[in-house]
Amino acid sequence: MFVSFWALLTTCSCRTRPATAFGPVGGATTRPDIDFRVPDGKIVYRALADGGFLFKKFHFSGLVYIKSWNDTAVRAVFQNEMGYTFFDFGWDAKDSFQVHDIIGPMNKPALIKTLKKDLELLLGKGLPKAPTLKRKDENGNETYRYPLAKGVADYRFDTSGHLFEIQNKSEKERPVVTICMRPPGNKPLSDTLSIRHHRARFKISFTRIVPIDPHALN
Amino acid sequence: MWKKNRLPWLVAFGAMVLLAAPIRSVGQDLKGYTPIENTRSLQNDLTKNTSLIRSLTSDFVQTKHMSMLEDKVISKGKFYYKQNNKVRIEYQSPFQYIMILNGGQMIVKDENKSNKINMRQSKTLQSANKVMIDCMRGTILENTDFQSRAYENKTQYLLLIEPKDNAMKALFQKIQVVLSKKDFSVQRWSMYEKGGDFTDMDFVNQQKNTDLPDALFNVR
Repeated sequence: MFVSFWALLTTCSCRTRPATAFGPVGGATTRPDIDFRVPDGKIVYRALADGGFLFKKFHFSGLVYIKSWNDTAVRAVFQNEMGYTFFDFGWDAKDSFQVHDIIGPMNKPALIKTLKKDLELLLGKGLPKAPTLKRKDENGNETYRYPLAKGVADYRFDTSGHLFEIQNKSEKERPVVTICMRPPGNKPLSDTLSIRHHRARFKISFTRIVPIDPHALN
Repeated sequence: MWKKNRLPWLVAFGAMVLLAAPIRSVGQDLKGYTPIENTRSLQNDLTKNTSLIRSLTSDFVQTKHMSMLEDKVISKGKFYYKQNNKVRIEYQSPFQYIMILNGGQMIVKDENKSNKINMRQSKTLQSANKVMIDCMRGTILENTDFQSRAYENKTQYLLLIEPKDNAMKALFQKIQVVLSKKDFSVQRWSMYEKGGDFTDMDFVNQQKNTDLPDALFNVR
């Protein structure tokens, strides 16, 4: 049991592993099975963020609410526990991005770009329809690479074919953002997510919560 | 962008706004209410009844109404108040989150960490704090930083509080507090955001003047 647990950890770890060189994706049948749709049409996460700049650390929390319409248009809202909206982002059916609302202190182009990219990696927005390259590491995990406007997005699958990590890398192959999902599956919006920003040095963890049903109150 | 981290202040602001609720709160439409032209009598009754509340314990249901998304996010928890300026708001479902305000200090605790905030360092927070204190003392209608109006129907008073300061206006459009005419207890508090979304906080199962240990309000 211990061995199998260890094997699970090593094969699905969110660390970069030695791998064979990238090669072309061979045909439509080898495309990874990723379901970018929002589970059940909407999902609510408890979000906790930690980071630091120089000697000053920060920590804050809130709720992330993601809702889709017809599996195409999507809204993502981040609010604090008291219901105050920090930002409200949206994508239409053509993946066009729009900031519907954002509070003053967060209304910075660099921050919006960062948050937008995180969410787009999870929602599959702005991605080419198919990966251009793939590779297999020594543990049998497969990585499918999608070119982005700047850098690349690597979607990593374990030997069972389940997505367990998304990594955004720079043109120089340096990791910029790593997103780990648990449990691994075919939906990036899994029950728990860990988003690590390597350059900005902050981490956000998402844990899915079950919203209270308004009808249950009556 | 993260170095200018003002989010804790916003969290604190939300707490301050909530503080106004314990005293008397709820948000609603003005439909069915008529304006009270002379608020002197209400002001006196408010002050008189508020001074009688040494402590308050209440369950609450918070509902965030997201107009564009046509959906709601609901949370529940416990609210505690102790004279003169101690408040504890404890979210219990569907997440754990505690916010304690005690004097000029505030602490928030989530699943992972505690975050202590000195409210005296922010003018906006001080202003929000003043709203809270005025509500506690029953003098909210006299606060010159906000435009306050009062309305009534057969069973309730409704206080409408709108900020005059631009910094506060950027944070919220208005707060509505609904009080029972019977005992001046807060039934609902609502905060309206600029974009049209609003959050209601309904207070139920209220118990007044029970013994609440100071440990509940520890900010250390």
